[in-house]
Amino acid sequence: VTAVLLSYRAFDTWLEVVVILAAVMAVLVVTQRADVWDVSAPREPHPLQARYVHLLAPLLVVVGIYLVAQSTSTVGGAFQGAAVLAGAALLVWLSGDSSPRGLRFDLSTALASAAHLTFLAVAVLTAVAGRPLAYRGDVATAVIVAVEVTVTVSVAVSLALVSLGARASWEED
Amino acid sequence: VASAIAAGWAVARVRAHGTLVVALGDWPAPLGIELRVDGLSAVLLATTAVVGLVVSAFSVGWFPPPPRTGWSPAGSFWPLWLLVWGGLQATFVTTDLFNTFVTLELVTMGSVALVALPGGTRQVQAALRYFLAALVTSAAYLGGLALLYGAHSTMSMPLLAERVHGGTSMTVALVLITGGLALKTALFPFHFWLPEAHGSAPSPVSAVLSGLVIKAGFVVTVRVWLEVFPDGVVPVASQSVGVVAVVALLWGAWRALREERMKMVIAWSTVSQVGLLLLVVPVGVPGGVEPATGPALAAAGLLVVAHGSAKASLFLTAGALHRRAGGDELRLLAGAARDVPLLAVGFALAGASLIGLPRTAGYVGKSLLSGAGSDTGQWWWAWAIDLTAVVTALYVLRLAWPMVRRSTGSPTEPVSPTLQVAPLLLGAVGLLVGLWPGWLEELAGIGGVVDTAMSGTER
Repeated sequence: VTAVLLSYRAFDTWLEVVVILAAVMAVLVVTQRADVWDVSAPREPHPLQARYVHLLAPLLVVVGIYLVAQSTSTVGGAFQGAAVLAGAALLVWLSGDSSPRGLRFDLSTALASAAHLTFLAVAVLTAVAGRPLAYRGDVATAVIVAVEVTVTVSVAVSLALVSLGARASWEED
Repeated sequence: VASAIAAGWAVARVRAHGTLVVALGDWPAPLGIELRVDGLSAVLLATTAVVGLVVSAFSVGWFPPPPRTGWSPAGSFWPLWLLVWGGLQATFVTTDLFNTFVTLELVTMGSVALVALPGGTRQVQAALRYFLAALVTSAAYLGGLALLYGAHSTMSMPLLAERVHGGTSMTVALVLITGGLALKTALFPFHFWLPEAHGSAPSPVSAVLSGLVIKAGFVVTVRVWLEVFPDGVVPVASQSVGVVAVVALLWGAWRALREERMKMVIAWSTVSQVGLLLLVVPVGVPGGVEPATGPALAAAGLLVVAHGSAKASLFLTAGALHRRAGGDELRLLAGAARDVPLLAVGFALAGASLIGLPRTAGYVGKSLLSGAGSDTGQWWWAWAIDLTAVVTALYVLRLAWPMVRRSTGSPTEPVSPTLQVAPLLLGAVGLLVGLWPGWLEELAGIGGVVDTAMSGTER
């Protein structure tokens, strides 16, 4: 799967990452505000929920990282891992006790665009070398892993931004 | 600017060497994705570069500079606009239908966000309607692709062209794909989202949406019909597209005659002009007889240049006049020709090209299309093409009439030189192409279809 996504059809994957980036910007356009990280959870969490999320969130982070890590040899991958990581972040946010407020707007938008910029850099470098998006055998693994990790980070941050942004625009009304 | 230089380089290379093909990642189709610049792609890239550059210059004068941090409309406009621009270029050069799906998604997602940019209820509603409609038709388009892939195990257009030979599932695939693309192109009756979206967006955004974004769906439609299904699967299919196109042409023009705001008139005009563009399908693929793909592709190229430059120019003019009078109701246009003559000249040039007066790009495009129609013995489409000129003239004159009238004395603001010169430049494109159409016709005819796998193609 990783070979299909990041080698044979790398151009598709690159553009899909950009579509997600465009979706993040679309949500921010509708929200029209930079403080999406400061919105509070819809309601006070049940104490049991908070305790449960305390147990669950670290597990989810491990599962997310595992999904990305094992994709070098079997099914899994950046998109699935990122979805789990974003889900963990949202659970923590919903349980109310620690929202990711430390993540500033500019930093989060930079992280959301990191995968696009990585793809762009790879495309420019390989094009300059004469064969666009073709990685040399000796660096192929390193390039693919680097791209996969940035895609994970960007997609996870993007999904969280989209969810919180949607919440922020309701709060406004 | 880099895009413009790259487009110019691509045009020069295609003129010198013919169609260019590059297999991304060194994986040739069907495994990987091949990009290809043929004559039509080169024309589209050049149009996008010229319109894109001028609209960008206009936008510098239109949006205030964004603050260093935080969210701002201008801070969102520039990245979204550049993403849309990149998505358009990718759509114009890819040969892979699934890749086309992704590029169209990118263009649509960016366009939806751009429509919502001012943040008013009207704009967000228009954007949401655009988005939901696009979502449904993306599914239809993807369904059509799944049928194609299931039957022929490839998404590469040149390979599909060799493998597709009629059949029920292919007919269904063609209908799904055409239906999905019809909405992205705003072909009647799937145009319902367009007037409000294009009419309420900021003017530079409207110019991009009407001038360029519509062409993405159009070009894929043309490629699918002329390249993948040149025998039309069933003869009646392409003629039905033609009938729908004529209805679009008349309905759009009729609504344009009934609107009271300049941008809404221009937006409905796009619905009408999309009908004209889509006549390329029945003209190029008559069904039953030998397809006229070469001439039809050249006509498509010229029509895209003509409509892209003229429509972008008109929307920029509408934006500048909106700034002048504080609104874009037709009565507020009074005295514009005297106050801002540059805008009036730009409007006249763009209007002439849209109508298709002799010595304009619109005229060249329509003549090529009529010519291709008579080559395949379809004289009736020439009538429809002439009809466009008449109905277009009516609504263009409806806009021009208040502009040349004496000012009513309502207060006006001065219009900055950037906002005046940009639409004039785009209007001039239509005239320049109309005066020297030869090289562009020649360029649009290079490569054509199906022959990419053959020798003479530079890889």
